[in-house]
Amino acid sequence: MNTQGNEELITRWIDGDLRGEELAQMEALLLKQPELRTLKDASVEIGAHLRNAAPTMPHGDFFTSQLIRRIERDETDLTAEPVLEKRSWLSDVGKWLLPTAFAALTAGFVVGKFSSNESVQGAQLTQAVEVYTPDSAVSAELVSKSDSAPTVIILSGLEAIPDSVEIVAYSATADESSPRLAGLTL
Amino acid sequence: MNFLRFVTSQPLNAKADSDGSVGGQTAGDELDDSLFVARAQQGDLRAFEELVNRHRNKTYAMIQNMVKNEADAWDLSQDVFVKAWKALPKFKSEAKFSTWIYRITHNAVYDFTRKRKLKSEGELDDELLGENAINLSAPTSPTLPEKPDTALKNRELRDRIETAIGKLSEQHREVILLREVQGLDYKEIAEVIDCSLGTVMSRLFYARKHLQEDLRDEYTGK
Repeated sequence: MNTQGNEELITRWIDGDLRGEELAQMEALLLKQPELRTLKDASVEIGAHLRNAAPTMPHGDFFTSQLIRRIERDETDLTAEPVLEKRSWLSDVGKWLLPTAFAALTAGFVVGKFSSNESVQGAQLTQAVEVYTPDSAVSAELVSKSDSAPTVIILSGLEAIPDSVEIVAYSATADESSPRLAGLTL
Repeated sequence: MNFLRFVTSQPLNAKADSDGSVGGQTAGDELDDSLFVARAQQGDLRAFEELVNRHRNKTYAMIQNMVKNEADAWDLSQDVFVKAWKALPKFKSEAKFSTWIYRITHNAVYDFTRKRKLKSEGELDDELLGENAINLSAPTSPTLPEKPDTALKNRELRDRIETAIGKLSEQHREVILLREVQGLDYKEIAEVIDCSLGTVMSRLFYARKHLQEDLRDEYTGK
């Protein structure tokens, strides 16, 4: 099949795009190369097959909903980023704010003046008599019974601890400068 | 009632019936596209969602035919529409939205195949190790079964045509798919792949010729 220089003409003929002079020119070419008709028939059939066998997107609605969620999330991130950049020092503080506040608050539960009568060395009962809470919205109530060793501190007004905060350990320490001060850190 | 407002607001309430139709967009749909595009350019995500519903099947079909992997085709389709959303303010309405989407698709597919090629150059060829390799082109979702005799006949021909398509160069494969599956005209294809009309027609000619030669016993003498 010698088609040199006639590729465009043949392509347009296969696609039914020729009229007038161009069609006559193509017919003249077909007289010399009738095998081009086979090329056209094959191309039309293959084209039809490709259209029929074209893959369809599985779960199209899910695709769209997932895409829209992704765009919304990206948009939210984009609008949030500049604020963080402008207040970068605040964002650094923010990272530590929650755990620090939480730890300080917790420490405050226990730090206080211990009853010297009941907690001095070797005593079985340690009782907190004062609790300092840095957040004034949080109040503490001490519950202790003389027949049980622990003192329970009930906190009211504390914000819920997010699931992302995982308490992996705690540390109870006594203040070296005063046996009457103690702290608890989570 | 403001008529223009009525016309432009109606399609937003009507869900596009795009599922199951690969090349089924009409001139009317294309006209409506511009209305949704205008709204989406103002930041209306619901209007963009409608555009996605209209064009997701065609986009996916094009990508799947090029990369031959459902999961990759899904991810790439997502990337294409995310890029489209971000670039939408720059879209000029003298072009058809569908052509523009194919242009983004073309770039995404070429980036993807280039990276895949680079990655595979440094890896061991699994095919050399045996026949237990995972078929990357295997469908990831169930499809409706055909009648056994029809299925067998169609599957044989489909396999042969798919193999023949797979043997084409990426450039030839892309033009034949854009023309036959997506129904783009020569000018639109030229815009998508950024080349001249002559190149498009020439690539189409050689793609068809290679396919016919590869499937000679199927199509000769009919």
